[in-house]
Amino acid sequence: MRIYLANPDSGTAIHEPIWGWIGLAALAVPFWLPLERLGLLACPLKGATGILCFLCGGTRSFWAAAHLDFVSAWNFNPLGLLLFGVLLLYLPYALGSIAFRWPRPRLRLESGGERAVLRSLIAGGIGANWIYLLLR
Amino acid sequence: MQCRKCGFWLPEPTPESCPQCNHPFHSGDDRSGPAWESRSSGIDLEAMLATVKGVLFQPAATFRSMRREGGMGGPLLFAVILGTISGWFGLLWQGFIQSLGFLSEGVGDQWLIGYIGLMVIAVLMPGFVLIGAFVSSAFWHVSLFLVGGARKSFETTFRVTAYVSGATNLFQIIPFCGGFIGGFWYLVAMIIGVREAHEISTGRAVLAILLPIILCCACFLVVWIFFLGPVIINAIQEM
Repeated sequence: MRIYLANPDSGTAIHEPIWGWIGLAALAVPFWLPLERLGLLACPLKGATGILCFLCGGTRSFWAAAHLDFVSAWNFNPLGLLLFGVLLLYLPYALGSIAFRWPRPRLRLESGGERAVLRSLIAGGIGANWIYLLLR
Repeated sequence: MQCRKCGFWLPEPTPESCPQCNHPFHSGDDRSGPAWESRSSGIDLEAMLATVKGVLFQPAATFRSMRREGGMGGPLLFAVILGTISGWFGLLWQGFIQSLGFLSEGVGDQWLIGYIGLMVIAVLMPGFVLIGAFVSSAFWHVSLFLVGGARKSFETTFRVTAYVSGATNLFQIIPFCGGFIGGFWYLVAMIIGVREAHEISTGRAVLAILLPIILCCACFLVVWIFFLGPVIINAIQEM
């Protein structure tokens, strides 16, 4: 595993502008979009089987977190709350990086073992969240 | 590098064809497509149509020759133009269905399902398509990573997603059933696209793109076995 600083002009340094602006839009939308009046599409899996999929409640969770209702956000789907938290930390860095052209830290996984660990962490996190949604 | 046909790991230096199945190996040096990449102006209708045709009807050849890097602007413009026009048609059909009164209950209240709501969505459509392209690309790239198929950069996944979504969104122009046809075509083209762009086996590409569906089916099966299985076994034993 290697952490290095990428030049803002290099081809690998595209993530901050993309996710910075999209993150800003994602945070702004809950304040003018009345979610409770929006006819959201129903989850096909939940509709067909009654079972929650691992993303069920994600939009409502993010929306509740943006309105600082963290308990409801957790109850809808902890992943939405996690995404909100990550976004709050990431946004100042991303926007600062765009404005001041800071070098951008990058992580390079150099062995199959390291990639396997990261895969396990992501899959485990999604799985644990899903089990929580199903068993609560 | 891995053979795209049989999954055999190719030795270095890379041979011209796979030693196991004799499938020709493309080094990637000839990647300059699709036609949209070499368009003469910002919006070149001829290049757009050629790209749409290639993605829909010759996806393997199109993505085998697709540039993996070189900026996201071109593919994004392709996705936003076609996604916006197609989205407007989708809204038009939705408005038509609403005018017949089919969706007056259970979808949302009058604020959204009314015509003003549809017009607001129509104006915001390019933004939705733009954000959707990046978010769906991130989703597919994580999925590819989870199955060990993310051999190339995020930009490669983004380019495949942008071209596939732009082309398959056109099915929304067909009223009523266009969304279903486009959705199915999207999945098939995505599988072929990531296979060719990331140079992975077909099985891995299928697994990456269908992973969410497979997970949901597996979950349904597990719940069925644990909750309904004992009930059925009891019923059988009592017979």
